Amino acid sequence: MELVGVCKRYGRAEVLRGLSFRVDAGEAVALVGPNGAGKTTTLRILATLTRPTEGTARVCGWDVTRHADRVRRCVGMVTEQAGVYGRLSALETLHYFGALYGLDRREVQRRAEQLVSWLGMQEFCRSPAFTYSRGMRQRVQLARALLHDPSVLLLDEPTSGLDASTARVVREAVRSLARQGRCVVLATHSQEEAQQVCDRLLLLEGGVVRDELPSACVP
Amino acid sequence: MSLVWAVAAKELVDLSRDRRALVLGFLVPVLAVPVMSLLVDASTNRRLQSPSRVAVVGSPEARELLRFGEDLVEAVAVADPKEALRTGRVAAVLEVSAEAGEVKEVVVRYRARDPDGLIAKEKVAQLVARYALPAVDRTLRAHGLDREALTPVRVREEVVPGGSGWTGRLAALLVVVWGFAGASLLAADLSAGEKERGTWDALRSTPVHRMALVGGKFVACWVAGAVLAVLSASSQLLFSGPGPVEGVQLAGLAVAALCASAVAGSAALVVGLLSRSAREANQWAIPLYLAALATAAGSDLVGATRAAFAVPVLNAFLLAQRALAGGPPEGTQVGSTVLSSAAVCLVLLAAAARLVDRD
Repeated sequence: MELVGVCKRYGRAEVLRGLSFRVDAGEAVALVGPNGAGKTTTLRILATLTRPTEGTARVCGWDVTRHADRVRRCVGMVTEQAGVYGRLSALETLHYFGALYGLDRREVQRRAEQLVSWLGMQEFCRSPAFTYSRGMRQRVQLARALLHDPSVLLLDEPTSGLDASTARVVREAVRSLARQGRCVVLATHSQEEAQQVCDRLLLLEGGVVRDELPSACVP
Repeated sequence: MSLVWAVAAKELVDLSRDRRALVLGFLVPVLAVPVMSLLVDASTNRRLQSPSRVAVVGSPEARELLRFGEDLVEAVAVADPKEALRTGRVAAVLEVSAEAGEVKEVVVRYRARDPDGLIAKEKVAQLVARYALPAVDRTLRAHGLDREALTPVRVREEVVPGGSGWTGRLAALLVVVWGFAGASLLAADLSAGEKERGTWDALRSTPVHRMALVGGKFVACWVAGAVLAVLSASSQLLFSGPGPVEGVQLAGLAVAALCASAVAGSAALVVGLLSRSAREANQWAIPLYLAALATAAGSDLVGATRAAFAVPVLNAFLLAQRALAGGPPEGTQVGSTVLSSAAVCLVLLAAAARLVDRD
C-alpha cells in the first residue's frame, strides 16, 4: 500500500497535509500520534470510507478513489467504536458479513469456526451481542474484518478501553497476522503498544509524518 | 439481488427480535387506535343523546318553549351568557323574544367550530319545531287544511345496526399515516441508527454494491410499513367498520399501503443518510409526516382526478378511500399509483445509494 501527497480537508480544517508512506506485504506499521494527528483519517482513506482531497492512495495496487470496490475486497478494518449488532450473535454477524463479501455459506461457516476458535470466542459466539463486553465486541470486530481473508488489515485503536489480558490477546493476534504475510496498519497513540506489535513506527503530527523509526529504535 | 435479500433478511430478523419496537410499532396501531376510535364513537353518541347545555335570555315565555324539549336542551343559569359561551360552559345561548304571550323569534348563538355548538343548534331547531307545531296545526285547521296536505311525501326512518362510525372514516388516512410512520421510523434506525451504533463504517467497508445495500434496507422498511398500515387499517375496519372486510378491499388497501410505505421508506432513508443520529433523522422526518398528512387531508379539495392519482402519497390515500368505499379501484388508478410511487422511490433510492459514500 502506498500514499503519495495525500491531503484531506473538512471545510477549512486541514487534517492531512501531503502525507506519504508505503507499507509492504508482511509488514506491520504503526501510525502513532496525539489526537487530531490524522491517524484515523489515514485509515479511513485506505479503507475507502473517505476520499482524499488531493494526492493518491493505492491499496494492493488499486487506487482507493477509482477502484474502491476492488480495494474493499482486499481490506479488513477494525474501527475504534467496536460497534456490533446487539440483537445478532457473533456467528450471525459473521454470516451476514460473509454474504456481503460474496462468500458462500460453507466457506463462511468454515472461516467463522476458525476465527471463533482462534480468537477464543467459543463461549459467547451464540449469545446476542448486547450481552458482550467491550473486549468481546472487539474480538467480533477482528473476526469480521478477517472473515474474507484480506491481505491488508487496518486497525484503529484496537485495544482502546480493553483490560490488560484482552489487549494482550488482540496484540498477539495482530502480530501473528503480520507474520502470515498480511500488511497491517495500526493506529494508536501508545508508542509502547506500537513497539510491541509493529515493525515500523510512523510518528504523525499535524497531518504529516514527522518521523519514521524501526520499532527496535524506539526508546 | 441475493445481496438485497441478505441485507433485508438481516434487518427483518433484527426487527423481529426487538420486543419494544414490536410492542410499540404493532400493538399500538393495531389495538390502541381502534380502542380510541370506539371511545370517540361512544363519546360522540353520548353528546348526541344527552341534552345540550344552553343559556337562555329574554322573555319569560322561554320557559314555555323549553318545556317542549327537556330531552333536547338543558337550560343552565349563568351570570354572563357571553362569557359562558366563550369558555364553553354552555354550548349555545338562546335569545327568546315573544309577542302576545307567544314566542316569535329565537336567536341561537354558538361557536361555529365547536361540535357541541353545532349539535345544540340542531337540537334548538327541533325544539322550536315541536313548540311551533300546535300553532301551525291551529292555523291550518282555520284554513280547512291539515298537516298531511302539506307533506305529500312521507319519510320513515328505520335504524339498522352497523356504520363506520366517526373514526371508521379514518381508515384510509391510517393506511397513509402508519405506512409512513412504520417505514420511516425503521429507515431512520437502519441508516442514521447504524452510524450511532458504530456499525456503519464496517458495513461501508464491504464491497457490497451501494444500491444493493440501500435496496436491502429499503425492502425491510417497506415490508414493515406496509404490514403496519394494513394491520392497523384492517383492525380499524373490524372494530368500527361497515361489516366484514372483503378481499378486494384488503387488496386495495394493501396496494395503497405498499405505495405509501415505499415512498416513505425511500424518503426516510435519504433523510437518515443525511443525518448523524436516529434522533436527528426522526426530527427531519416530522415535516415528511406533516406533508403526507396535509396531502391526505387535502384529497377532498383535489378530488379523485386522473392527475391526483399521479401524485405519490395522495394517490395512495385516494386508492385506500376507493377500496374502502367498496368498489374495486379502476386499473388506470392502480397503475398510475404504482408507477408514480415506483418512479419516486427509484429516484430517492438512487440518491440514497450516492449518500452511502458521503463523508
